Parts: sequence; structure tokens; C-alpha cells
Amino acid sequence: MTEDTNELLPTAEYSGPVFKRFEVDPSKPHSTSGRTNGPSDYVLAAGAVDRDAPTEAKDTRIGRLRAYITTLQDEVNEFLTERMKSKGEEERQDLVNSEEEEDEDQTGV
Amino acid sequence: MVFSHRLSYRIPFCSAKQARIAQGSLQPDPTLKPSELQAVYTVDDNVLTITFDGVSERVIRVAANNTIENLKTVIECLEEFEIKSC
Repeated sequence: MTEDTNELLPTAEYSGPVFKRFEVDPSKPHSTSGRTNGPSDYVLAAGAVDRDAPTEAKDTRIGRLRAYITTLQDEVNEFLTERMKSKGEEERQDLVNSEEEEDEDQTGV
Repeated sequence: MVFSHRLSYRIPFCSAKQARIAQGSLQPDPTLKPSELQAVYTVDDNVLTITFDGVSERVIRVAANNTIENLKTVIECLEEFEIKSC
């Protein structure tokens, strides 16, 4: 993709228990085919055809914007998914700990 | 309900008109569970800002991903149908 001094560069910010800012680097390759959307590899390998696949971005500022947004979307999705996983793991561990404490209480240990 | 998580997207367009078209296309989509999520669309000149406030990462991820998918369709339409693209 060509670079332009007036590139339309989207950004994103997450704030909650942590803060994270997301930016795209226009010097890297970007595509409208995201990693976190569309049919899974498993489904595609089974012969499915993705009829809703996005078109390739045109080499215009608005076209490249769509590819940049796809990159940003992937990064945000992966970040939030990772946080959901780690939170789920923490909750499972808390549950195990509280059950162990209950067992200890009941056995009088 | 306290919204403890916030995700904001800042999307610059070629013109203020394009940003308003995107806002007008996305904004009517109702929030299914307003007690769990709130989405706000604002336009300042050529920049569309979409802010999601939600009760969890999961709620925000689902809503934001869906909205961004719709936003990409809007941009694809601008690419294809605008007479004077940029």
C-alpha cells in the first residue's frame, strides 16, 4: 500500500482495570481480511465458501482506511479476548480456592 | 448500573460529510441491553468517535466488533458509490 502524508489513521483506546491505546502503523501491510472475523479455518477447510468476504481495499485514502480499521479491530478483539480469558482463569482459581477453604472449614482443619 | 469498561474508536474520514454519513448509518442501530452497554456516536469535523461503555470486556467486545463490521460496510459503500472519492 502506498503512503500518503494525509493518511486517515484510526485509533482506539480502552480504559477499565487497565488502559491501552491502539494505533496502526501505515508503513506495515494492511488488509481488509481480518484475523478475528469471518468463517473459521475449520469451516473453510470443510469446504465452506465465505460469500460475505469483504472486497479488497482500493488504493485510495478511504480504501486504506478500511484496511487500517480491520487491523485495529483485530488488535482490539485479541486484547479483549485475552483479558476475558485471564479473567475467567482468575475466577476459576478463586472458585477453587473458596471451595478448598470451605472443605477446610467443614473438616475443621 | 456502573459501566466499568470503556472503548473508544476515533475514525477520521476524508470529509465531515462522510463522517456524518457514517454516524447517521450506525446510530439508529438500537442497543439491545442498555443496562449493560451504551454506545455514543459523535462527529467533530471529519472525525467520527464511537464510545462504548459497558459492564464487562465481553459486552464491549461483542458490541464494538459488530459496530466496526457495520462501519466497514459503510466505508465500502463510500468507496464504491461516492462520485468524488478520496
